[in-house]
Amino acid sequence: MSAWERISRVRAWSMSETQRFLLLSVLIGVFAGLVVVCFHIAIDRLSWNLLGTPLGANRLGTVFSPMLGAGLAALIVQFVFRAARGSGVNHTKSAIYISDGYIPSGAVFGKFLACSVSIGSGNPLGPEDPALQMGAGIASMLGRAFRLTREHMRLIAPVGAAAGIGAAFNTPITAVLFVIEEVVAGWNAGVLGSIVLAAVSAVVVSRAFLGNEPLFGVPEFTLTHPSELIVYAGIGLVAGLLGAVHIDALTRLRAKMLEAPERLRILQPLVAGLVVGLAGLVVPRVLGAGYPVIDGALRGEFGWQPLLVFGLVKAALVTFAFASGTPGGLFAPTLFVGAMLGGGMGALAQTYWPVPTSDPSAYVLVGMGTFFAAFFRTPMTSIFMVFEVSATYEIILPVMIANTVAYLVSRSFQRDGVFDIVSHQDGTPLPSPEHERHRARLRVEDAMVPADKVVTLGQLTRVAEAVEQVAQSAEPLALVAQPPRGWTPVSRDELAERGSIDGLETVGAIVRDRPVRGVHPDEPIDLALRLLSMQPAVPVVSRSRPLRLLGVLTVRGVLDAYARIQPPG
Amino acid sequence: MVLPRVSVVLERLRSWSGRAAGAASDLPGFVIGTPAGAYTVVLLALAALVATTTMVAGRYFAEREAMARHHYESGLALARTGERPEAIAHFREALSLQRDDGRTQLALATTLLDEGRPREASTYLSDLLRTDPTNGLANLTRARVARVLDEETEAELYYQRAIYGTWAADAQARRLDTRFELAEMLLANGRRARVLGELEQIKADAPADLDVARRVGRLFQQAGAPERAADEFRLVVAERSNDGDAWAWLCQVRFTLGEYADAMTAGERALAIRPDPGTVDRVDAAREVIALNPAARRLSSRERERRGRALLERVLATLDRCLDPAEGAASASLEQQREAARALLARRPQRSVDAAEEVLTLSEDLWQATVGICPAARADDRVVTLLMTRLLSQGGTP
Repeated sequence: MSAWERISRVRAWSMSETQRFLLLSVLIGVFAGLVVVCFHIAIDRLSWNLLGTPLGANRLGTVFSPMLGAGLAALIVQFVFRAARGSGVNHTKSAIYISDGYIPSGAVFGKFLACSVSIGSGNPLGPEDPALQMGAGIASMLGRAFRLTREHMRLIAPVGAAAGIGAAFNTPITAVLFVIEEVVAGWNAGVLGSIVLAAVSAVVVSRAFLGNEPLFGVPEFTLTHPSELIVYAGIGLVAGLLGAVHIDALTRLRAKMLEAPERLRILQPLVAGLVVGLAGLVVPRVLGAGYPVIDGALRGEFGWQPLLVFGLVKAALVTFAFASGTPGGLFAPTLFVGAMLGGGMGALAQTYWPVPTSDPSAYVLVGMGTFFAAFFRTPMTSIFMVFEVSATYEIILPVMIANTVAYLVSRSFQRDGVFDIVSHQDGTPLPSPEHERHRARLRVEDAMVPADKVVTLGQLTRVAEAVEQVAQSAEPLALVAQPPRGWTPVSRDELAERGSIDGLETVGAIVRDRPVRGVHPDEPIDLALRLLSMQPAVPVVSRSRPLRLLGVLTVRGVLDAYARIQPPG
Repeated sequence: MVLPRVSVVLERLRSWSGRAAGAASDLPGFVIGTPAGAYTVVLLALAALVATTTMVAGRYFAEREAMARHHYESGLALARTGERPEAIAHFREALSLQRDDGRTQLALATTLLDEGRPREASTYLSDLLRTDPTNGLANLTRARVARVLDEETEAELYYQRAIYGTWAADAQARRLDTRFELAEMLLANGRRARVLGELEQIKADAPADLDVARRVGRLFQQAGAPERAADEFRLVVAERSNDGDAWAWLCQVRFTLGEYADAMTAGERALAIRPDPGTVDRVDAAREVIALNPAARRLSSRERERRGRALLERVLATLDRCLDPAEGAASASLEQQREAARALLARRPQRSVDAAEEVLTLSEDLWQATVGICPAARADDRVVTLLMTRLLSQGGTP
């Protein structure tokens, strides 16, 4: 046996799958954190060299860099690293639902190169979505290296996604919640721990290099007067409407641009980049991710007119850039637009509201999260994001109100989320976490036949009598009481057959050796379906008194219940 | 013809990149054959990535720091020349590169305050004070922001923090200056008792400093404590006999206290160094008061009566000017006093103590009656007003 073989056989290398998964989660976080740090540095250095400092100081660079950057980035993702095209969120979801966790390594390299060029050259997109995809890609690579099982490989991508977002935002809670709310679409206990580990590891690494400071310098917040909550609700309303409009405009324009012949599509980012450059000449603050501008808005640097102008121009440029296929994310621009919207409305409130209001910076903070909730449809993430960024508990009430209003308004005007629409446009429809959340969840009580419509028999009931009773009932079955355990179903046909063949005189003899299985009315219908595969019907009993029969669940009843909530066609 | 060639090139590029990407994606599989191999490769990759990131980050932060310093210095230069908006832009840029740089935060806050944007300045100061709560200059600037925003309580709090905070250089002098600024603020807000307290503290901190004594004296004077002010100015002129301002201020406070002889002496010293109309006016008034005072010491009875008659004459003239003939005759008792005064003035002077006393008493009674019915009389004859006030309050020598 060679030395290498002896080393390989050392027990310490042979961890269980679960242990490897957890160790991997930490490694993924570390790798993702390091890569995101390099990504952040690459964007900054490109920006300094191409656009100058302050932003827009290099006027020639400001006009042409976005165009050239967008063009080069588009070339990279269209011809060199094709796996890096598209939304990072959708790629991660594809890894879960379609490709068993496989994300090509090229996605990581391609996303790094293309997005650092596109964002660093001034295009008004964000680094968080690329970071998410890079994290997911790193996770996939490491998962393959460690030869995880198929089941674990499917779940590895969201672990990396959380690490990527956590490092990019410097917000571990937000990262975890976003992945759960938008990618995994549920509190999957099997992967939650790993997601948390990866996010925390990534944030630790990123803070080690980039510092502990939060993303924004947030001034102290106080709620000056309770009536301000109305203003915050108003911000939610406006953000909800604008969010719906933004989703619609962005996806419609994208659809139009996708209709162009493929060989002309490379021109679209070039044109979009030129438009960005020309706009940047007039309003340089809309270039790039825009975090320093949000910081300035939080400190009251701008009046309400510039804030609203920045917000609207940015929204328009982002729509154009993203729809044209310029690589980059939507997180940072969404925060930007929301911050400007909130700040503008806050400044107006300060002037026109009849009672004293908080500093406009409070509205900037709330606006950020509100528009995020309206656009991405992740209400929990947006609430905690604001809380995590500001470290101010007092802001929680206005944030909850504004975000909830924005989410509900946006949803009522635009049913589908941006990622859902984009995935359909890309030809890979993926499950929608939002639709999942709102999907009616059937319970046993929704499908059961009430107890008074079912024949119930004692164990000593004669079979002949039982057959006669069941014949008169609408349901072709009966339930036999088996105290103290519960009830056992028996079908009409079985009664007739067993009675005639075996000559059994009582129904108790038929069901004597059968297990007693029942469900409760509040349980999900999925649970009952498993039991229906083993017996003709499932008794529904009270939780406190197992012998108290509430109804019975049949296959027919379940199908009818599903048909009621989702009619055919 | 160009387009087909381009499309062929692009197609070849796409094909090549597809093969390269495929090979890259298979890399983990064919390189890492065993668990030990997997860990080894991963750890090596991790080490390489850490090394790369550390190197890249080191250079990046060095460059960031240099850029931040450049913007900070540019901002300072522009602020000195009064180009505040440009200076603010540079400071902001410096802060975006180094958010925790206290000196940039302070420079930006100060410039914003000078530019009339106190609320924005306060946000930067709050950040700075969160990390360095005892920073004397930051607390002082924050106090100034609070003053501009009419937040008196906040301002006083921050002034106190500045006084007891840490200063990079000249701590003693900066603390004193801060106390003076606080005292001036309290004085402007009418908080006399607090002002006096602060001034006493300043004196305790710098008992022998003459420049401090000058400033303290002035503030005592403005706060309505002329005796304390006089003490300070005396201290100054005792050491700096050619301090014209101190002499002038001493003249002022002595005059306020009714010590006209000392006021005249101090005023003459001041005028000898640096003439000014205010001091000239005070010296002249003091001289007149002294010359008119019938209660001065070591006067002969003849002189005392002469002065008394002159005073009575002026009081009577004041009353006559004050009373409006259209309103009819004054009250009977006042008319009686007038008649008595006229009669006294008409008779020949008598060289007796009693006569002088009688004249003085009549003058005092008539004056009190005059100001009782005609308060404007106080402004009519300044010398008479000063003298009568003095005589009536103390009955002594001015």
